[in-house]
Amino acid sequence: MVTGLILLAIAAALRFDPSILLNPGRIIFQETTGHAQKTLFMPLANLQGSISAHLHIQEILEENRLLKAELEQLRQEITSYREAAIENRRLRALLNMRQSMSARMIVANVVGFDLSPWKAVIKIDRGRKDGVKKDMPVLTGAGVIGRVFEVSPSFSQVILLTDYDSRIAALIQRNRARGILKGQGRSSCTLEYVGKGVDVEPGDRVITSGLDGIFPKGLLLGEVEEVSPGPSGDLFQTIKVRPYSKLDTVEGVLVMLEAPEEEEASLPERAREPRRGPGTGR
Amino acid sequence: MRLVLIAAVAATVLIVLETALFPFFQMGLLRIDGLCALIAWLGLRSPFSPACLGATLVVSLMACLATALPWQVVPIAYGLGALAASYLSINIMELTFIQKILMVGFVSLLANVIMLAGSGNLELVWPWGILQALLNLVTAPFFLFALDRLFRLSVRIVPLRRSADDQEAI
Repeated sequence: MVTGLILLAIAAALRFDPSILLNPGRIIFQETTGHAQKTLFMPLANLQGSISAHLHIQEILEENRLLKAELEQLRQEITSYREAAIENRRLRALLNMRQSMSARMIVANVVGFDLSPWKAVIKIDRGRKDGVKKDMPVLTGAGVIGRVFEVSPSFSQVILLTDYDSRIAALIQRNRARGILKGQGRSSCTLEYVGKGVDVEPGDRVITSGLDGIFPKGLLLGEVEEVSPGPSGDLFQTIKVRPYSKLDTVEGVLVMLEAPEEEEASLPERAREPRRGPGTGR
Repeated sequence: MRLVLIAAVAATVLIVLETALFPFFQMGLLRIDGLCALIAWLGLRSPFSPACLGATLVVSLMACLATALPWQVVPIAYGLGALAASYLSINIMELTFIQKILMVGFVSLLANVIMLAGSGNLELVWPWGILQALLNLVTAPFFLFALDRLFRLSVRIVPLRRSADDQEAI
């Protein structure tokens, strides 16, 4: 009798759509716990940052030296890109096309993580009041980290690109081969549905293709870390991708409120082309 | 009612700590988790009682509000965990402390397997689900002690009605 009732309850639960009841509850819960999480998270994040900086001072000095050299190189490249952008604008004006628009972004702080350790989901301190909406891209200086999937008035939940349920339309920058970037846990992803005949090498950059309608084309996702042919019966290669952003230690993020036009989205990514040092990635 | 309130307070504190502080000490997919210990403690404290089931429901609902897992998974996992702990505790005359700790490990394993399978990540049961259950087993003494202290504190604030069973429970 009791077993029957339990089974009946489980069956009813599986069929019932609780979003009507759970969504307001979730929003209230997010709002009430968010402030407490923020109060606890921030001091510890700062402390961890200071300790880490002291422990890795030599590494940081070396990285600083390399970054300075890289900065000089990038300055020169940016100058040439600016020239190209000006020329592009002039030609567009000649063709009577509308002006390209800059991406509108807001800065947000990470205040918490998901309760389940295997879910790569973070909570940020920006919400509906700040203009954040569901499915907006979330980035760091190094590239895309995920998208907003739940919004409350002051806080939002972001699903990271390494989450097992994350899928992003991507392409390999060098040969324009398209695939789907799928999360594989806390620190890596795989690029799926890339045929065996396609030439892919470790170090190739993976960018958003824009086909998913969520991420604008040309945003940096990561770098190919490992390529293997995969099982003999499989049509596709196994491509492991390392995200550029340090997802485990991310503290501050940018939420893209308004997407730029394709050319602008891809410009900073191209500008990072020569970046090959300890400053790159993880 | 007392047990439900204690569970709600403990769950709130644990959820805030587990989502704000404990990720700093996370190793791979392992994180300190006190909710399974709370569920096992509820089953041990008051097996099969409405208070235990109500408290488990409250903890489950709070947990499912703080996670991106499918909403059904957490209540089923914790509900079955509480039922397992209740069933085992009424079939053993006198549980030793070690047995209580092992019970937390067992409930954790059960809950982890259900949550991983329910969220489509069954491949993570080995090794992460097993290791998480072991970690919960190791940290169980602390959580069981803290929950017992919380219960005693609640009794000091609002004394129990003096029935023989309640006296024994204290």
